[in-house]
Amino acid sequence: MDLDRALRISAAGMAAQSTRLRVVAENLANRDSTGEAPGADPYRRRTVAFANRLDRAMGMETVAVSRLGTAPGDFPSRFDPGHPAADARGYVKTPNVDSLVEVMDMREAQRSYSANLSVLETTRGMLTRAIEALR
Amino acid sequence: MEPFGSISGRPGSGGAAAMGGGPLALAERRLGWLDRRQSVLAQNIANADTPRYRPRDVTPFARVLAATTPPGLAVTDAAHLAGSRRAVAGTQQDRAVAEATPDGNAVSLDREAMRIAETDTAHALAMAVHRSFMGMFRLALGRQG
Repeated sequence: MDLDRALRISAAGMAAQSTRLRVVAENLANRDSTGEAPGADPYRRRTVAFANRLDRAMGMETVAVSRLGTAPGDFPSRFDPGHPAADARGYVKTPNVDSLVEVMDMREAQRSYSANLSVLETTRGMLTRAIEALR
Repeated sequence: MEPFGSISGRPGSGGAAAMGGGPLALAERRLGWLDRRQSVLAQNIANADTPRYRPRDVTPFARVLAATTPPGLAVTDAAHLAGSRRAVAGTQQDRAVAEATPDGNAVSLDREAMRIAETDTAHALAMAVHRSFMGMFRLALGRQG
């Protein structure tokens, strides 16, 4: 039943977008998580990647989170000699999280989530109409 | 959207009638095609953020219908394969892709939304045709409907 598949695909899309939203929340929450020991690395920004997956059991292609990785790149540092994580020169490494990028990502995840939701509702409408024909 | 009446209204061809059931069978096939299309479009939207994903669409209904309505190969023996008589609409990559994002994704949410709306309307229409023909059958059978 193709409509049933459409429902499942939309649900998979929504699940993938919620994972993305969760990662954004993690990044934003750890915006200021520095290391604990002097000179230690702070929180590293996490990333999420999607891929088109073949669901063999259902015989259809859905979307899934393919990899949860971390963002490479140097950590910015801030001069704060009184900080517990400050190195010998008095610099503290701060996470490579950019709030603006995260907020953009959050918006995009939200839009994609709504798009999937509206497909789900349309599909449900089609199913309901098909069921109505039985009356 | 494919003109619904153009094929069933073709005089003398008897294409849809030969399939058994005429308009009902045609509406049924149309519904099957729309179901399939809906799942393909759902897949496009679900992959709206997948790198290198290209949107797909199903073969247009008119073409599917033309390929599967008689005259075709007649089955005169039980050993004959069904072949394309019951062909399902295949999917193909959407050629009319306007632009792709830097990660290679070419899904445009608004265009997919438009197609979804189109599918929804066509589904409502096919359902209405189906219901009204069923109503006629019910009436002929002497029930209210």
